[in-house]
Formats: sequence, structure tokens, C-alpha cells
Amino acid sequence: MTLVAPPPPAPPAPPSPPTPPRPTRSARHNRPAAQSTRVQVIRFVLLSLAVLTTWSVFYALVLSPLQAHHSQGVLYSKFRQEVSEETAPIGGAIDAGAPVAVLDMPAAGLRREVVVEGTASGDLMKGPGHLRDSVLPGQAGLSVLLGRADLFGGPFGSIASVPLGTTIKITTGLGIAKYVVSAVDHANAPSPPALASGAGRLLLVTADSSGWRSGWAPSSSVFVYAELKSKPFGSDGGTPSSVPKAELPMKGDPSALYELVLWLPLLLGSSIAVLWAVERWGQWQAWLIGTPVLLATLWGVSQSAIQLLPNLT
Amino acid sequence: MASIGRHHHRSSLGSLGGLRRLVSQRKIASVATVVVAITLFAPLTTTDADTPVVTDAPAFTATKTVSRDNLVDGVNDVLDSRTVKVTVSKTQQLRDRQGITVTWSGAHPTGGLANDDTSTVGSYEEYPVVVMECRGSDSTTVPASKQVSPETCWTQTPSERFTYSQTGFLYPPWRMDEYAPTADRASDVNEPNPVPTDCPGLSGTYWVPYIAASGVTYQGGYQGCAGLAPEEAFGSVADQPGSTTYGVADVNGNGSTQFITQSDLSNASIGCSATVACTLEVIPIEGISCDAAGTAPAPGGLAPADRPPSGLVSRVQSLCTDTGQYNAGDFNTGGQQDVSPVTGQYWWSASNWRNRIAVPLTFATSSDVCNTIGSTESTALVYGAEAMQQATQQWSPSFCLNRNLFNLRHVQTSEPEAKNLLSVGNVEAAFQAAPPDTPFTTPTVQAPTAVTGFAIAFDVDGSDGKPYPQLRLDARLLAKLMTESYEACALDCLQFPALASNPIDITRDPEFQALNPNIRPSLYFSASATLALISSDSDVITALTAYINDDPEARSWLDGRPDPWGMVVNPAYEGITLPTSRWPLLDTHDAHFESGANPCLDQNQSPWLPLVASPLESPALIALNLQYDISDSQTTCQDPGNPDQKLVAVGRENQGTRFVLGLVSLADAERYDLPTAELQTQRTTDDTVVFGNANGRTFVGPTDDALKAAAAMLKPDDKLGTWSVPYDAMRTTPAGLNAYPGTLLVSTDVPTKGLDKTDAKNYSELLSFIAGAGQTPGLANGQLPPGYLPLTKANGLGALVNYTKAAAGDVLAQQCVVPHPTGAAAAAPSCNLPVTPPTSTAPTTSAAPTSASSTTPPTSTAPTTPEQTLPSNPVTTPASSAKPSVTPSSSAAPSSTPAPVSAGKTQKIGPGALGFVLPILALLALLGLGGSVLTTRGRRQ
Repeated sequence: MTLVAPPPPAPPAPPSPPTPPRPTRSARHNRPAAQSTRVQVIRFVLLSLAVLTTWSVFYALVLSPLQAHHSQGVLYSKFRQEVSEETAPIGGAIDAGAPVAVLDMPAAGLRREVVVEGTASGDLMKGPGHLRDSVLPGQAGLSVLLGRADLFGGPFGSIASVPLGTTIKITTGLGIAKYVVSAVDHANAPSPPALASGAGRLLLVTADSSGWRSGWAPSSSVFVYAELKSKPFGSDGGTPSSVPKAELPMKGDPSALYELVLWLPLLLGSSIAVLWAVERWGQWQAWLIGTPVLLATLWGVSQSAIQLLPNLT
Repeated sequence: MASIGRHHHRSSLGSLGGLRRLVSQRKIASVATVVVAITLFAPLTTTDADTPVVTDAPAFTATKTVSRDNLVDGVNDVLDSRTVKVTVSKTQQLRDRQGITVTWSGAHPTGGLANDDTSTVGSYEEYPVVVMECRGSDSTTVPASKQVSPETCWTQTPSERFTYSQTGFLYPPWRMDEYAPTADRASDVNEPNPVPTDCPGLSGTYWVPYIAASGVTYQGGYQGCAGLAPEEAFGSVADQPGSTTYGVADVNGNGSTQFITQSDLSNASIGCSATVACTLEVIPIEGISCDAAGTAPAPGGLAPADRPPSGLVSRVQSLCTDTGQYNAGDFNTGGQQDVSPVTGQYWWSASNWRNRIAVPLTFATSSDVCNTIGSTESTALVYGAEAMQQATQQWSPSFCLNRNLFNLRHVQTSEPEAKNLLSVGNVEAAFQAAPPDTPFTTPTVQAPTAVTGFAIAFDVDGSDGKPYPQLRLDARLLAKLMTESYEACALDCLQFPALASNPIDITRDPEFQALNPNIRPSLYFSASATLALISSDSDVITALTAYINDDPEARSWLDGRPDPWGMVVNPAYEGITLPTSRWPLLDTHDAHFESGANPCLDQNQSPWLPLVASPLESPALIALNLQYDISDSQTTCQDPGNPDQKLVAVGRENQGTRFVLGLVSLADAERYDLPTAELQTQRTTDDTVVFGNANGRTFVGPTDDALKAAAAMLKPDDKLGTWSVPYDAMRTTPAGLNAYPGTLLVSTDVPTKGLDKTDAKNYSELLSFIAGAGQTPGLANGQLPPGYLPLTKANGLGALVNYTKAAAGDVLAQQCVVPHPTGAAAAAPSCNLPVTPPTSTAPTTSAAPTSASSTTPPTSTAPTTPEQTLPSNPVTTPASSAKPSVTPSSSAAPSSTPAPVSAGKTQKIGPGALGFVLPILALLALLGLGGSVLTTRGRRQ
């Protein structure tokens, strides 16, 4: 970091001009000075608020898709390898966050979308999630996938607009299953008939919104049903018969609070460190070092905080 | 079961790592410090406990040529030479008090037998095969302090490691040992200096001090006068019988013994453990190799001044080469003066020691390690079934040694007590071996955990004096033992006409004799008239009495019908209601012995048959008694005639005439190597006719195959919430022919309501472990010991595994859901309603719980309390699938019918106010920006 030799000692200061005297300790109580301090504080607070909130919105709408894209890339290669090694999970209690299927639904813009196990807000950051107490796609029975509509790339953002009869191809460790969309239900629409024994059905769930709220402020949820057209795979059993509340649709994950509590002091600390560095080193040096630190901590904070929001957003 | 947040932690740690590389500049170390500090606080990622691969302990086999020599005038003459072969059943991953079988062939036949070959008297046997546990490795490559020597070999009494010349003769055989170094042939060897004042002045003494694991040396000496290790004892006051065995070889040189290994838990002086190596030394005693003239080459030989005078050499020679006074197989009649050079007393002599066969032993990490490690970690307590003890002892170290897991602690209580505690909410988990009498009031999973059983262990010698190979019992014989229907004393001592014509004990019962030929009438009437039972409530007693109750032969006998030979039930028990969880002691008759036969009872009369029965508090005590051939019937009068006379247990029985029966858990029987009786499953003969053999009756022992056959018959019952053992089907269907009737299904009960998050997660992880890694058979930590049938799909127990896997999820979720044993989809959870067991147990055809997930789509019939009841969760509705359209009461109906359901409406699931978070944030951003711009402008003005 040392850039250059220390500067030569400054020449003796010229006699100070008679123009405005610097405020001394006793002068602090002067009215204009006090007012300017107060304004400065207000301005600082407003500015910080603006930065934080802008960042949050920016992260949610612009950065989160990048993060999801990265996760998808990693998960896809992992799942591809597992399928080729026949080690992909095919039943029982699967670890949350593990890839379980690859979803192809070109009509909704989904190509090689990796589905992970678990539907808590954090799991859905990586891609669509498989509700853990339902069967795996391709098996007889109802398989439920939840996906975000807006943030993190909004993989399920356009599933409600596909025409009936659209084909869905899902690859799991068991094989490839084909579903055909049979119904798209917005709230208060009639439900499809009961599933016959031995038949399979896929239910895709995501958030629904309209008007100015579309894209960032969901108002309700939408269900897309698809019937299994290929031969159902056998079931290994051992599926959990219930899931924690945080994995149900439109629920946030309160356990992310712990993470948030760990990230916030880090953000605070790094902010103070940067401000201190601005004082000590000067603007450019401090920001050169500080920006990545601040960005990283901000990223951590917002990634934790966003898990508190409904998981289908 | 990975927690949901874990992956996020992982990724945040990753980004922190990158951050640290970015900010490695020293001047901003403060930031880095914060980073590091936060990183340390971040929860660590969990790695799965590494479970070693099953290493099936190989049976040890070794062959060695042993000999006895005689050195005369520099010529070494071989007096006797034999090739001894030794096999040991188990040598690895041993646990405290584990029984192992040591078998030998080719040894010199043993004479001068003792009643108890683990006693001091046993050491006077001639040509025994000494089996003893020694600390250290029998290897010259380890440091001397870790090598085996006679000083680290355990004997229970000091007399087995001290010898002296009783006649005062200066040249006892051990001084003539050809292979002993000169120092060990002195007139007194290893004698402490000064000799403790408590010790008598004896000559020709050889001391074998004991060096304990702590490093303390106990000199021992005559009757232990110079100090004993705490576990050692002189005479009969030993805390537990010794394990050092003076084994007997028959005339063909064959023999075997059940050796009881001890770890530091029961014998700190031996101190064998997972970290302290130990060796089983098998020393076939050949006798001392003689050098009567004392002229053996260095380092042996006697100093010239010590050598016997030439006139004495021939006498010394004949004494030293003596071949014993007993024929092979004869019993010791006592009275010998100087100790013969071929007895077990000289196991430590160089001549015998060189003939030893070393068997390295390894001990498993004891579960006690958990008492010291991680005591601050969160602990998952499970109360109940002692039948699980062996499994939890192996499982718990794999939990407590993994710092990402919790402590698993099994508090052994009776199962009914544990279930009561659970139902009132005092404990959070229980092991049961039978469903509770009244259903749990909170939703509780009964997750299958282990298939094991009870066993009738026996210590019985046949009429040849050898252990009887296989006992066979039917339900009626068990009933006879339990109902105090044998008088257990001669000459009608009870003066109780109802029992007067019954046999006095089981060995005199023609029914027993028909099933078990070649057993002599017992000398221990009390021991052979009862079956050692548990005194407390127990699911094991429930199972045993259910088996008896379901057998028509036994039941009708209990109801008063005499058996074909005329034996009747004790009227106190006639018509007793079974099954019961606690066996009552009902007979109240006093014994009337001839005066003086039992002074304790003369002085203080008390009912006799309850004394004979004398049940014990825990199954572990019964196993201990069986291991050491102890009868616990409190019928022996100690110190008769003295003021402090009292009734005590019969105690250890003599070998060759043993007869003890006890109810133990199968896993205890496996660990302690206890023989177990075969129980009758089916019969094709008429039960009113006298029979003289076992024809037409099938008996099954607790083998893995028999457990598997029984487990296949377990009947799922949604009403009970678990599987039950169908005794009726076992007795009548072909599948039951080879199914062990003592089979028990142990389940873990955990509520799915009201546990806090940490506990729910811990118990959920425990259940996942039970349904997965915990079923790997083996002796290592985290594995399933013998005595349990692994709960796996391969053993036909897929449905049970699935239940436990599903239960793990339900315990974690704490949403009041309980899986159904039949595989029917779980009932709708209703945390605010009392549990209503399903009204019908109609089995579904579906193999797995999930394949029944079929019926109903989301409906709009949400009840009024949306937070607590299910219908507000429209997605779990179709998933758990048993939720029908309208009323909660119909929710229990199995849902496999494909009947169309009246279409409801898709329910609206809104995000509520949280849906507006992003717009609000954007608004705030605008406000903040605007405000700060305004203030800036104001300042500039």
C-alpha cells in the first residue's frame, strides 16, 4: 500500500489570514454552527437510509438474479454428475438445498432449471424448490414445486401464462417424467378433480400479482396443475409427512434473523472502519479498500434479510 | 437432517474468506478482527459422524507346541510335548464384562478338578489351561512399560500369585526351573524389604506383585498381608467372582471356557480400555522344566552356593519332575502338602510362561467417555427400555464425540414409567417395547427403533457335568416357574396340600425332562424352582405374559386344568389375568423345615416361595447373575446360629451341577455370551396326553433368522399407532413356525407438539440416525451390536424404516403430525384438538405413505382459526392428502379411494403486509434521497 516516499515536511504555515476564525470550543454554542451540525446529522441519516434502501431494492431486483444464475450453474453441474453416477437423491429424507430435479418448460422460459429440495426462503434463492412432504416429480401422487415469481430471477414468473396442454419435462434421479399442464388456478378458481389412485400430478406454486404490484409486490398465489403422462416411478417411501412452517408457501424464514444479527454488526463495523479510514488516509485510498468490504457485508445483510420476506416473492 | 439455514452459512463463510483475502492490509486489521470474530461466532457446518466400516471381529486361532523339559548333566530331555490349538470367539471391540469363548485342544488332560475353576482352589488343578487377562502387549517392540509380564496379569485372590514352602524344604520345584534366570531361583524372590509386619515369617517364598494401571504396585503375599489391589480379595469376600480361569482339558486334551473380560469400568487396576492395550494369556500348564542340579547355563542356573547338595539332587529331581497325583478328570480331594510342579499355582514360572499363547484384545471406546466430554453440549435424554442399553451404549459415543451433534443419554427406567413420564410431559422421549395402555394425550410418534427380544438365559449343566447345549421351554413350563407352583423344598415342607403332589422343582418335572433329556435332578432346589424375573413394571413382562397367555396349553393350566402328569397351578395364581406388566408374588405359605435345617427361618418366619422367587430390580442384574452362575433365591442361612444370622442368596453354584434360569434382554445375552433357551412356537400333539419327547413341538431360539421371521409378522395397527407382535398368528400360521416368540419391537416415543426448537432438532436427528446409520451391524461406536435385527429394507422392515424417517420430519416440524404404521397418509394435524386415533384400521394397499397422496386439491373451506389448523396451509393439504373437503371428523378416512371429490375453490394465499416491503423500501429510498438533497441545498444557501 505504501505508494510514495513520505512527503517532505510542510513549510512553516503562513500567518493565518484574518478571515473567519475557526470555531473554537467556546464558539460551539453559536447558533449557526449548532444548526449546521444538526442539519449535517439529519443529512447523514437520510443519506444512509437512502443508501441502504436503494441497495436493498437494487439487490432484490438487479443483483439477486445474478446470484441465482450462479447457484443454478453450480447446482446443474452437481446434479448432472449425480445423475450420471446414479447418486442423485430418489427418496427418503433429502438434505435441504440439494438438487433433486431439472425442470424444462420452454413455454414459461424455463430451460434446465434445477429444482432443489426444500422450500424455505433460503432454498428458493437458488431456484425452484420441492416441497419436502410431497413425492418426487415423476412418482405417483402429488408432487409440489414452489418457485419465486419475481426475485432471484423469478423462475416461476411466467408459469401462469402458459397455455393448457403445455408439456413439462422433469429429470430426476429416477428418470425423465413428462407432465401436461391441465389447469392454471388463480385465487378462488375451482380446483381440479381429485387425483386417481396411481396417477401422478405436479403442482407448481408461485406468487401472483397484477397492476403496479406486478414484479415486486405479490398479492396472492397461483397454482399450475400438470398431469403425469409418463409411467409413474416407484416410490422408496420415507418422505416426511410434514414440513416446518417456514417451508410453506408465502412464508418467510424467521431463522434467518440469526444470520442477520451476525451480519449487521459486521456492516456497522466495516462502515465505521471506512469512515475512520477516510479521516486517516483520505478519500480515494479509503474507498478503494472500503468499497469491496462494504459491498460484501451489504450483500450478506441483504441476503439474510431477504429470507424474512415471503418465499414466493 | 440438514437444517435449512446451513447452506446459507456455508456460502456466507465462503464470501467471508474472500473478504479476508481482500482486506489483508495490516493497517486495517481492525476490520479483519471483526471479520474473524464474527466468523468464529458463525455456526459451524455439520459433517456427518464418521462411522467406521463394520469389522467383523475375526475369531483368533493359534497353534503352539508346548513342552516340559528336564536338564540332566547338560542334556535337555523332553518329558512331555504337545501341540496346543487355541481359538477365541471375540477379541476386538470388547466391552466391559463381555463374555468370550476360549476353546483349546491338544492340551495335557487336567486332573484334580475344582468345583469352581475361577477360584483359588482352581489354581491347584493339575495341568489346567490358565486363561488370564493381562495389561500390555505381548510384544518386544513396545516399550517395556507396555509389555505383558506376570506382574500385569490379573488374579482375583493373592493366593494365586504367592507361593511358599509349606514343609520348609529349601528346594521347591520353582527354584529348580530350568528356564528361570538365576535371580528368580533365589530362596526368596521379590520379597519386599522389609517384610510387612502383618506377614508371617515363611521360607521359600515367591511373590508375584501386581502392578496396577495407575502404576501402584501391590505386593500381595500370604493372604494378601502386604497389600491388595482394591478389586482383589482374599477368601470368599470378593466383590465379584474372579475371571482368571484354570480351565479343564478332558482326557483328549479338549476344553473350553466362557471368559469374562474386564475393562477399566469394572476393574480399574487392570485398566484395559480403548487406549490401554491388553492381552489374553492362555497358558497350557505343562509343569516346571527341571534343572535339579542347578547347573543350567547363564542366565539360568543356581549360584554354586545355592545348589542342592549332591546327596539331595535325586530327591529334588523326583519332586521337580513329579507328574501329579490325580488322574485326568478326578476331583481334588485336598490334603496335598507341597505344591506339585504341574499345578496352575506355577502359571508365572518361566517354564510355563514361555508356553503361553498371547491373544491381543482391543476394547471399544466406552460410552462413559460421554460423561466427561461435551457435558455442556445439549443433551437428548431418552428414558425407558433397558433392552436398548447395549445399542445406546454403542450409539452414544458417536453422538457425543461429534461436536456438531448433541449428547445422547439413555436413562434406563422401566418402560411403563417412561411412557407415563412422557404422557404427563416430564420427559421428551422414551423407548418403549409395547404401546402405552392409554393412548398418549399429545400427538406422539412411536418410531420403530430396534427389533430385539427377551430371552430365557440358562446356566444348566447336563448329566455329563458339562454345560447343557440347548434348553427348550414351552409356555406352560414358564408358567409353572413363574406361578410358584414348585415347592422348592423336599418332604412337603410347605404343608400345602395343593402343591404336595407337584414336583419340587422343574428338573423333576416330567414335562421338562421330556423336552430336555440328560439333565440330572438339581441340587439347588430354589434355583431350579424359579425363573429370575424383574420386580418392577416392564414391557418385557408384558410380552412374556402375553406369550404365555396366548398359548392354550399354558392358559388352560393356569385356569386350573392339571397338566398330563397331574401337576396343578398354585391356587394363589389360578385364573390370573394376563398379560400384565408386573409379575405379582402371591403365595403366602411359610416353610416348615425340620428344626435346625434353616435356623434363619425358624427364628423369623416369612413366606417361602417369594423368597425362592426373589425378583431383581433390573434385567442387567439378572444378566450379571447368569454370567457368574449366581442364583439369587434368598434361601440360604448365613452364619446359622449366630445372632446376626440372615437369609442370603444361594450364590454361585458349582460347576457341573449348575441350574439357573433368568429373563434377560437378547442384547445382554449376546454381549455376556449367555446361552438362551429355545421357546415353543407350535405344536401338533394333543396337550392332554403324557409325552416323553419333544416330537410334534417346534422350538425356536433367538437367531437372526427367527427374529426376521417374527418381524415379518409384525402387524401394523393405526389404532395403537405402532406394530404389535401377533402371538396368535405365530402359533397357528406356517409363517410363525420359525418365528421367535420373544421378539420385541422397541420404539422411540417423541411428541410432535410442544418441543422447543433445539430439542425437536436433536430428536429428529436421533430418529434419522436410527433409521439410517444406526442400523449398521457391528461392534464399533455408532453401530448396532448383536442381539438386534437391523431395521432395514433388506430385512423386510422397509415400512418400519419409512415410519421412523417420516417421524424424524414430523418431530422436527412439531406440527402435531404422526405417521401411520399402515402407511395410510397421516391424518390432518390439528394442534388444538385432542388426538383422535383413526376409527378404522383398514389397511391401504399402498406400499409407501406417499403413494397414497392422491386426493384433494386446495380447498377454500378454511376453518375460523387459520393459524392453528391445517386448511390454511393449502399445499400440505394435497400433500398429506388425507384432508377431505369439509369436516375434520372425516379426515381420518383412508384416502386411497379415487372417488371424485366435490370441487372446492383454490384458496388465496397472500403474503400479507410483507408483500409491500419492496415498494416501501423504494419509497423510503426516494424520501431519503430527496431529503438529503433538500438539506444539502439548504446548507449551500
